[in-house]
Amino acid sequence: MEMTYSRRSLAYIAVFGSVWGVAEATFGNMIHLLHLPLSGALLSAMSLVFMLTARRLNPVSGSTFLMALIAASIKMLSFTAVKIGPFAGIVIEGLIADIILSVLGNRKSSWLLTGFIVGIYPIIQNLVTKSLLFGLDFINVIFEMAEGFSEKVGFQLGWWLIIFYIGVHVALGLGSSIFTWKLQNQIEQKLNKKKTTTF
Amino acid sequence: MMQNKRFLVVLAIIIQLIGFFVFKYGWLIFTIYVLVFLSYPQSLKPLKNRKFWVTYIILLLLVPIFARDPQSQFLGVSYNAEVLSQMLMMSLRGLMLFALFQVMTFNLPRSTIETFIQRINLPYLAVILEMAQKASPAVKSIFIARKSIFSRAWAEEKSLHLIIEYFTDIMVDFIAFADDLTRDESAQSMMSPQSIFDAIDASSRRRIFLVSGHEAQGKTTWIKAFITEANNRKIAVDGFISEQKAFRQDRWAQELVRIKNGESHFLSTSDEIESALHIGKYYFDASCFDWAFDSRHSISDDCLYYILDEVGFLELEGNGFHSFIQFLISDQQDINLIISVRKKLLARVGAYLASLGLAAENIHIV
Repeated sequence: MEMTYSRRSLAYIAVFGSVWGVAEATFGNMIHLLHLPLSGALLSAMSLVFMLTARRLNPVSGSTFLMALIAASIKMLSFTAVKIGPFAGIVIEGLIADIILSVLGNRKSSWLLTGFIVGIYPIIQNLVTKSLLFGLDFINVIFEMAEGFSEKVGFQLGWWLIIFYIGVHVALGLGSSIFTWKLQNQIEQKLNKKKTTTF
Repeated sequence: MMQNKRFLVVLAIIIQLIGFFVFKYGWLIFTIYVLVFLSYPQSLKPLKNRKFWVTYIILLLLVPIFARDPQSQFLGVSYNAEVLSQMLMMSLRGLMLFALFQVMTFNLPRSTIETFIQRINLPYLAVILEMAQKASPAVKSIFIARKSIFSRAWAEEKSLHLIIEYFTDIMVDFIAFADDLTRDESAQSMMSPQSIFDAIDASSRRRIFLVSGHEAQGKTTWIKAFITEANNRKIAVDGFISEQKAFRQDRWAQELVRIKNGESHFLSTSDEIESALHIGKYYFDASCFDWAFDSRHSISDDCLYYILDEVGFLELEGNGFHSFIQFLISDQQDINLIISVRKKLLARVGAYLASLGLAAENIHIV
């Protein structure tokens, strides 16, 4: 498929890709240094704000993936050494969002689906990485532990902890999508106001 | 040489990993880590991170304790010895593969990734990368400036509304910046100072000329050329230009110089000073703007052009030259105004001037 981009599209990809990359490099490195829990989920939620805002303004297939490549390159340059994990993470997030938004279009339901999948993506990435490191049994081990924990402590607590962990990721992803959707109205109001008052 | 070293270390680790997978020799972890420590000690830095060990604690402590059929006991805590042994092997595998991955990717030259991106050969990627490279410093400046404004507002009032406003404003800034990049660059080239005098009727008043450009792109230089041209034409010009007085790597100070008589006042510095006015890397001396405002009493009657270098975030927030601009564009002042503005703020400053009651047809972008 031949993709054609206007100069405007290219500018939006470059600017919002840079914005995402700079935010990842500063905020992302900061929360990793502070060893905050759920850092992956927080970063995914942040990246959704930039991805979705840019996509609304520049609804062109492939633009979110290109933005992700720019953001990942900038993030990569922020480390003293090349780190494959964060680079791959950002690019895959961009690819997922691009596929969903290209197929389903720029509507609230597709934004929510993007928020849901990008939200849980850090869990998927974590499971894939851990399964590569510890073996394919890793996922079974986690489930068995949850079951054993539930049996010993009661209240199905092991399962609730897993549900809570996934739930926080989903909530952050969906919350970020809803927040960005609402933000668009504010942005449009400000832009319209500007159009009527500028020269 | 470096490539050979990496290749040999990776090969040695793989051989030991085969030994581990086939013969279950757990002690091979020591030889692998001694090898990595001697060849690439920096690659083991992540081991100092507490977060790194969370999974191992889960595998080695929690899983055996909460496994079914715990037959063994240690310090009164029952656990499943078979599961512990299984988890130990999983953990060793994880640590060994981690070492291999670290050596393979440690300090890879950036060119490796850059070559990878180039090889993808996506349409337009090279153009976008180049644009992004140019855009990144401006993006950082917007982030810093907006964070500074937000911090001040947050100190006064903490609310969700403020957070939404912050995100809205920053996005509007980025949109304005992207739109700015969209415009044909040739159409953005500055008008010469001479052409202003040629194009505008000598008797015209109450016009505003916005001299726009990116940081260090020559706005003050243009203004100086304009003053020279005005002097040549015997046209009275007054106002203020900012001059960088000291520059040493990332430390500098700026002075505000009055055009009419050369008087100057300390304006801003990169060093942290006790100042109520702080935007990004700029720490302003608020008294400088009071000093500038006082000069309104000594503007000559024949002054045709008044210059302010430069107007930006401070004024948009109602600080800096804000009062002075209000005074200069008030009905009593029969004067043309020349204001330098960062390109990324051009649209916002235009809206700001319009909000002060200036007719849009009187605003010209240079």
